[in-house]
Amino acid sequence: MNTTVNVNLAGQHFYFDQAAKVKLEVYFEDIKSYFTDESFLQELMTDVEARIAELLNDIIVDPQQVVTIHHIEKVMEVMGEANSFKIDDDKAQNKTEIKAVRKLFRDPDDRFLGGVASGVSHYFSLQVKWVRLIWLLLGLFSWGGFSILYIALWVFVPLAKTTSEKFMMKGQAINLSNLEKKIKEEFDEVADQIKNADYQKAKRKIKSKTARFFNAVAEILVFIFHLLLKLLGIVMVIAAWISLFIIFTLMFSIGLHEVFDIALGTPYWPPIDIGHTGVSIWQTAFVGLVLAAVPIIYVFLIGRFFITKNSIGGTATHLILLSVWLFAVLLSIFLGFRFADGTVNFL
Amino acid sequence: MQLENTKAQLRKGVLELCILSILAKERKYASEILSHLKHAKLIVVEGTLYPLLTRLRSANFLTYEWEESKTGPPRKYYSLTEDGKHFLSELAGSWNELQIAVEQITNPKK
Repeated sequence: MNTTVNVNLAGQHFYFDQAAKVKLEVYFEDIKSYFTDESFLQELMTDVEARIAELLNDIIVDPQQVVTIHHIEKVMEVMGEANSFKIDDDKAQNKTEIKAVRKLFRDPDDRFLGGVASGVSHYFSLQVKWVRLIWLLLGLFSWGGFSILYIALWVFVPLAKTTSEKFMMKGQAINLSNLEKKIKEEFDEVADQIKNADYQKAKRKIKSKTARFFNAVAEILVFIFHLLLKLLGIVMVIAAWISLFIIFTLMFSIGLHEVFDIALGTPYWPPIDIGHTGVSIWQTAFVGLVLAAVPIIYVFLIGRFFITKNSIGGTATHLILLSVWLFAVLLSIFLGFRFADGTVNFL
Repeated sequence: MQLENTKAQLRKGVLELCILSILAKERKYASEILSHLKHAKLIVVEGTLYPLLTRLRSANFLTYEWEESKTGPPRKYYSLTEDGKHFLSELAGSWNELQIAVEQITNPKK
């Protein structure tokens, strides 16, 4: 099942598949990329659109029928790939393709201290938070020696000031469309800043220099705190998984053991005659499992919460977990009494 | 790969001459021009034609008229301008010279 969009080609209406529309749009963009002259392009694209409308009219018999990506591909077979439109020799009509270069810069728009982490993250296509985490770990494990390396980077890696430098930092090709995009982005940013300008002014007036310094320090500390919490969360989640795994294996092997013992008729295991509780061993083991598992599950939930800051578990989850656990607690108290009543045989 | 490239270059070289020739006698619209060219096996994909048509038009060698069509969108009917006719005869002359030259080189007579 798909969504249909209404498309107009050379004044003719077509029903298009969403995917088909995208494919055609990309095709048009590719063709356009080979030319720079706007009026030339306008004329050309009008003709191309008209021809494609003609071709589609031949393929689509019923006006209710939807143009699918398959139809577009057929059209493209007839029209040719976008590069068939290229006129090699005519310099006036063609754009030279500039290869996208990627260089290491410091990013002035995303800096904590010197913009080193964000610059590095652009160069390696990582997210900034991971690079900062790596910085932290390196710092801890090198007893601070890493800070020398960081300062070296800060000094030797240049700041990306001009627009073309910023493009090279992110590895984007410096061509017309990218520049357009960038200018539009910056325009929107400035517009937003103007809206916030008065508010900022007021804020600045109130805060003195020392206050701002402590603010910065506080922000750093908060950031570190969150990082540590995340680390703790990871440890907790891993520990919880391992413990749950062990417990399950234990219970499984106890149960299995009992099954074999009964089948083979060998004396009861373990030496402690828990059988006097009147309840089979694996059932006792199961109660014990639940008793231990629920707190571990909570360790897992809290750990996951530290990592993702998503919900710590819905009300239903908690309700089920706690009530099951309570039931297990009551059962084990009950079994405990039975156990005390019966003879304790240590073999 | 190299062969294909050179072949394509050769074809593209004569394409403008052929388009102008097709339009020399009567006006035609894009699909008609295309079918002539395809029939002569000069072009394989239609994308090759359109930029050339546009270029010839912006150089004022061609002009067009819109005409309504019963079976679809309105069509551009292309025809040669005076300049276009001049350009065509120049190109045709050039082509003849080229043919003679190539013939001479590939089949040298004593």
